[in-house]
Amino acid sequence: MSTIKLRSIVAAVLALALAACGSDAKGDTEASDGAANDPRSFAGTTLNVLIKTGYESRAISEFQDDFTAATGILLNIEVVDEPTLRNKFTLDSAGATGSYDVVATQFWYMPEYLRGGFLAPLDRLIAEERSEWFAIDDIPATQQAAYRDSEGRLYAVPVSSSGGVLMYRTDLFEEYGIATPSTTGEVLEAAAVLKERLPGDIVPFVGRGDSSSGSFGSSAGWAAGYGAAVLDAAGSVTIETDVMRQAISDWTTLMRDYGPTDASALGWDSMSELFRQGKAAMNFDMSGFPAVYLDPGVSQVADRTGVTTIVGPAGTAAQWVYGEGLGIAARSQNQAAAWLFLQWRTSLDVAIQEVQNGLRTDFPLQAIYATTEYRESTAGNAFAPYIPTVMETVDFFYWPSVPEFDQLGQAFQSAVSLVIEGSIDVADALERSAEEFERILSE
Amino acid sequence: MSNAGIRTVPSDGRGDRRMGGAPIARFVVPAAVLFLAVGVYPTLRAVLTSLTRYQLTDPDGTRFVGLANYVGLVVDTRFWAALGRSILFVVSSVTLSFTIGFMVALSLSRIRRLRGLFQMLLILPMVVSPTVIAYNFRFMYNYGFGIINHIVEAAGFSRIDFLGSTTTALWSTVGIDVWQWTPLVILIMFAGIETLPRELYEAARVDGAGAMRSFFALTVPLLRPFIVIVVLIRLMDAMKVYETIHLVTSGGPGTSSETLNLYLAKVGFSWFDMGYGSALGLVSLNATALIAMVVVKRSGVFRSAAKVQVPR
Repeated sequence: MSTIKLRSIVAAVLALALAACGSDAKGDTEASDGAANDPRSFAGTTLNVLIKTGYESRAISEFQDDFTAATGILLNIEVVDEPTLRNKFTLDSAGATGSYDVVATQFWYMPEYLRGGFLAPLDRLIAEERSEWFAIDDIPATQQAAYRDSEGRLYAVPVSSSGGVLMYRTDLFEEYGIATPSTTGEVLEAAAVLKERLPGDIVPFVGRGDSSSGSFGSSAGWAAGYGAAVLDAAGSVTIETDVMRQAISDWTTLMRDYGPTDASALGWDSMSELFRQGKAAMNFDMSGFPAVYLDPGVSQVADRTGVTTIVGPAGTAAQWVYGEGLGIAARSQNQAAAWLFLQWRTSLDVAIQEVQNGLRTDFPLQAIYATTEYRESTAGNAFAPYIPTVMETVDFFYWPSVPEFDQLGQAFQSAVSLVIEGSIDVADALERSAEEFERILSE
Repeated sequence: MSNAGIRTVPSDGRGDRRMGGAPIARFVVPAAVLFLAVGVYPTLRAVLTSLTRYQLTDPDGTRFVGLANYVGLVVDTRFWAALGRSILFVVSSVTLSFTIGFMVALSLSRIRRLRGLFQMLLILPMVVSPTVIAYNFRFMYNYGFGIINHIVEAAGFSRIDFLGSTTTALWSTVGIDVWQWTPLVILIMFAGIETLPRELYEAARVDGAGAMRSFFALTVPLLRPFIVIVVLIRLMDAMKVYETIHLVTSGGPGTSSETLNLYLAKVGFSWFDMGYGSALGLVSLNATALIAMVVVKRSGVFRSAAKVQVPR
């Protein structure tokens, strides 16, 4: 008797499970017809969203109720730091767990995600399922390029983007009669003058110098102004070139001779802390930092900070490219609902809300800069008028667009940090890096 | 110490029967199944993975490579350098924390007032998350604005480049580990000191033994079980350290503070090379187990504790 009961229970549980699986497996692809006209087609659906900490996630957290009210779609948001995000999404995708519907992705991880087949292509959705929020056509093609595969298919929509800028202390430059630098050479000249005249507790220059791949953006981005890149378009290693030698020599001179003693240990946090405390006269980094440095709530130099772009000997801007996009997990069962969320998140409406609420001022959307709301909300921000120009300088050419980026970035930056520390010279560092690159890529 | 007056008796199994039925099936099997599921199976999977070329982000490229990952490990200079740094880290951290901790515990045992307060304060570093500690030290060690350098300068010394120099970066992380775990040594050794019989010391004094003689002839031998346990715990803790080094130095400058755990994490969870990462992990696991086994065997402390002892 008990065996029969047990069998009945097992059969019932299996039937329920199969029914649930069947329902899930169907997902929302069939229900997506007409979604463009009716944003409430997916009411009741819950989207699992995996995003990175930072201003990109704050907008989602603050305005998610608006999205739910408009669509009936519920959001289950998980906010983690960048390495954790990558680990979670990779492990989830490789294990075919399918826990996430929407995921944030830094552009440098795109080759790795594409090789693994972790993200769903968006082209069919872009062509057939446009909602009132659709604004992707307003994002420059150069910024979309970082999220496309070799056949041109788009896998993520850019949410944020930044270029390289030089932030400097206007009061010190005025006091010592130094003109605002516009080239990498002038930055070095200014640093030399400042070193002679500054008081002992202020260093002329600060940047990222630690061994992490995150600091690769500084040294390689600086080198981009010299026309140097670690890989060429064909994927060959191009580290041991004259332009790269000159670029890294200049960068490490700035960091070692004009930076703080522990420059080889500086990450973004300790670097920005030095500038915000008024202990550095110049800082080269991404264009997201001026918003922090100009905020009197967190910066002691908010009223004394100038921002400018600089070009290198090649006539191109020194870069600090950062970009984050939102993609749809390949294993998501709610891809049409997720697509609606992506359109909402990257819409002009949400961008306007972000700027009005003081969340950020730099967007990949071009239309935002011409709006009255943007101009009014950024009236007191000295850097805001220059943001469109900075966005135009963004160029991903120097970034190694290969799945092994993280390993390559660490190898290169690890050698650069040793030059800053003084253990090896530039020639040694580039030789070591080139050997490591060849080994990693050949494997 | 003699075992006079104590005899060892084997269990007659009657106790087992009183507990009702087949105890092996009831107690051992679930534990064995759990052990197989969470201990043996993952280890076997790791062994199998270590014999493959398995990149998490390249599922189509997985293939059997035999012992290639282990051969690669033998010629991997970065692995050997990281192993050397790990040994240096463990030996220096355990030695320093034990020496300082033992000395503080001895001093604390002479204090009669505010003991509870000291003990409470000693627990604090151990309950703080390693991530919080690492971030705090990252800033406290800073050359320009770090509080430690302010103190160093106020004391009349030159500032120290704790994190930006290849010669000091690893030692700075050792300092954090010693700061966090010395209180554990103090608490365990203090508990041990409290159990010492005073009459032995009085007898030794009557026999003319000085403080040093009493320390080496009585205190150290009597505290041997505590010393072994505390060294074992510290060894295992120090061998596991990852977050602190990762967050404070990222293994740099260069790879000058990269320990085996950091290298393993980079291979496995930054580069997603699961095959090579598994080989590294297994070697690391076996090295840790071997060291722990040697300490346990050599100490002989756990052998006597395993016997059932009843008064004669």
